[in-house]
Parts: sequence; C-alpha cells; structure tokens
Amino acid sequence: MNPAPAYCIRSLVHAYNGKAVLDIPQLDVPAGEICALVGPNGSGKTTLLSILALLLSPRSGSVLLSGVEMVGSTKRERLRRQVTLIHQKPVLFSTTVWNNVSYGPRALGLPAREIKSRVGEELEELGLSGLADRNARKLSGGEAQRVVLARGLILRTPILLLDEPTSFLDDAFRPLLFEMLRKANQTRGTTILVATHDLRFASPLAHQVIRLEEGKISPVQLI
Amino acid sequence: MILSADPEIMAVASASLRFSLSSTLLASAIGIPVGVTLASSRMRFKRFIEDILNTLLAMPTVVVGLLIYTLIFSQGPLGGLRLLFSPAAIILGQTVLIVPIVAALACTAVSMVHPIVSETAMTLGAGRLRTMITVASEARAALLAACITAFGRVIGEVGISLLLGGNILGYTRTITTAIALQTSKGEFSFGLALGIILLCVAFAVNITIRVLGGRNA
Repeated sequence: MNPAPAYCIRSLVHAYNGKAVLDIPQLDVPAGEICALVGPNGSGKTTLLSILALLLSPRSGSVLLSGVEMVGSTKRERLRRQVTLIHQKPVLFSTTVWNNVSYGPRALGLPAREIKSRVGEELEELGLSGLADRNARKLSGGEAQRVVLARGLILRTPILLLDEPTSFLDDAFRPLLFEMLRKANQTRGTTILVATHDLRFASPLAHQVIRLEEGKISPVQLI
Repeated sequence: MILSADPEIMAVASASLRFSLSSTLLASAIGIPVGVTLASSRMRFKRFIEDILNTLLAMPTVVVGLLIYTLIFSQGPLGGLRLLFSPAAIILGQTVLIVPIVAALACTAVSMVHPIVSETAMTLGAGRLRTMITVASEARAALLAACITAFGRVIGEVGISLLLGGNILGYTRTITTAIALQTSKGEFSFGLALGIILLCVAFAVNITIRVLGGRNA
C-alpha cells in the first residue's frame, strides 16, 4: 500500500481583495518526492507555499497533510512542525549565526548535545563554520542565504518547502544546495517542493514539475 | 550647592531616582507584555484598546494622583494598607501613569517588525509565546526606548508625588516637589540647583534614546 501523499489538495481557492489568486481543483504531492513548482511572478507560487506551510488559511477547499486535514484544524502548531518553509528573502534574526541556525532545534526542545552536533554539521556543510559568532545582520546576501538554508535544513522535517532558494545564492553554492536537497530526499525520504524560476536548477533535481499560471495548475509534466 | 554635594539635594535626587526607576521597572514589566500581546493579537476590539491606551497618554499626573488617593486614603477601599504619604504610594501612582505609555509604545514597536519575522519563527517550530518573544526581541531597542521615555515622564512629574507622597523630607520628597516647595518659600537658588539636576537627568535620558535609536536604525 502506497503511503498517503505528503499533500492532498482538493478544490483549493484563495483570493486577495476579491480577486482569485489560487484555484486548484486537485493536486497531490507524493510523499518522498521532489517537486518543482514553476511559473511566472504573481502566479501564486508563494501563496501556495504559505498555505502548505500553514501560515495562511485558504478561502475554501481542503488540504490534507500526510492524511490529516489542515484547513481549519485546531492543531495547526503541531502540524506545522512537520513542515519547514525557507523564504525567498533571507530574513535573519538580529543575533549570531549560531543562534539563528539553532533557533528551530531550540524551539522544538531538542537536547543541547543534539543541537550542538546538528548546528556544527550544518554550518560545516554550508561553509559557515568560521561565521558562527558573527552578527547575522552583517553578512553578505549570499552568506545570509546559506544561513537561512542551514536554519531550515537543520530541522530535518518530513516536508521541506523552498521559495526561490537560488535567488540570493552565490553560483558556487548551487551545486552544494542541489546535493544537500538530493541527500535529504534520498537518505531521509524528505518530501521537497521547490518554487523556482531556475529550471536549470530544478529540472535535474525534481521527480515532477508543477506549473502554475495565474493561480491555476497546468498539466503535470513528468520528467 | 551641587558641587559641594549638599546632603538635602542629594537626598531628594536619590529619592527621585529610586521612585522613578522602581515605577519604570514595574510599568515595563506590565506594559511590555501588554503591548506585545496587543500587537500580536487579532482580537475584535484591538483598535479600540489602542485608542484607549493612546488617550491615557494624555492623562494629567494630578488626575492619576487623585484617583489613587481616593483608593488609598484612610477611608478608601485600600486604606487599610496605609500606603498614603509613603514611597510605595508614589511608585504606585507613577506606575499607573506610565503603564499606558510603555504599552502603547511597545505595541507600536512590535507592530513595526515585519510579519515575515513571526512567520519565520512559526515555520521553524516556535509556538505562540516563543514567536512573540522573538518578535519582541527584534524590537528590543525600541522597547528600551519606550522604557526610557516612560522614565523621562515620571522623573519630571509633580502631581502624583505631591498628592500621594506628601513631600516629607528624607522620606517622600522628590526633586520636583522640593522645587515647588523651595520656590514657594523664595529659596530660588535651591530650586534652581534641583532644576539643573533634573535637566541633567533628562539630558542623559535623551542622549540614551538617541544612541539607542541610531543603533536600531
């Protein structure tokens, strides 16, 4: 028996100021797969990711997260802990890099030794070890984006949502991000949904591409 | 008189600082959580509560003094606590005066933090309380400035200290009540020395706010 899809979306509609920005009759995101969400600016990619990360409630419709209805759920906080959303714009808290990267594990109440070990691993993998004590607000755009990625990847949640992860990333680190996402998917079975313009980055990585245009899904194209 | 550290001047200056710092600490402990919670909430009457807080900013000190006086005078509901004409009464009155200032400024400071900060905290697994603390932490310089503004308000107030403290030398006499008394007696040099001390404190408060404001920007 196949596991429940990571997301099972039915009749999802969302609108801003009376204008529909998302209208998705049906979409399944299979568990353990990498999906690329592509589409022009304003096509609704970020809105969809915000709904899937439980930051935004849709106007109507149903979204099952690993088989559990999340629209209107009273357990949103608990459900949210299965999902990590990495925003397009690198937003860092005004404290050190180490405190930024360890924020999630501390919020989840992981043991101190586990936190230290995970932070060390993530910082090293993203070439940030030398910056651990630096003020995160004084980093370059590329460094900040790597800290944002480390801060999200460290949580190792079953579902990872990334909004334009390469937009602020230095070219040299794109292959590294590619490998990190592939490794998370292959070794931990992480379901990954990447919203991107960068098809050169997403195509070789994704099991399927979902195209959004004016809030509507175009036919899914299998790779 | 200032340079020779006149004991009476030092006593009233020290009392003023003690009372003002105590009431500022108390008001911050109450006002910051109220302001942060209000800024983070989506309750129905949020705007109305903000309007009430903003109205209370204009409350005259003598009115606050009078209200507290009716509560703590010997026949009042809290008369049994024997607070009237004590430092505790001044601190209570000053706290009531500046809680709305701290709360209103804290609410504004936290509302200015971009929503993406709280969204980021939530998506990293933070619950409601941790998210609020994280957002407040991002506004910490503005919150500190709110506390300093409140301190500036109480260090210079006279109505509450006079009505609730009774201007008792060595006990409840503050810089402002001493200025009022000495001036009424024609002791202008004493009043002037106290005024200079008050201005020095206000100057220090302004410098602190400017430095904090610059750091925040």
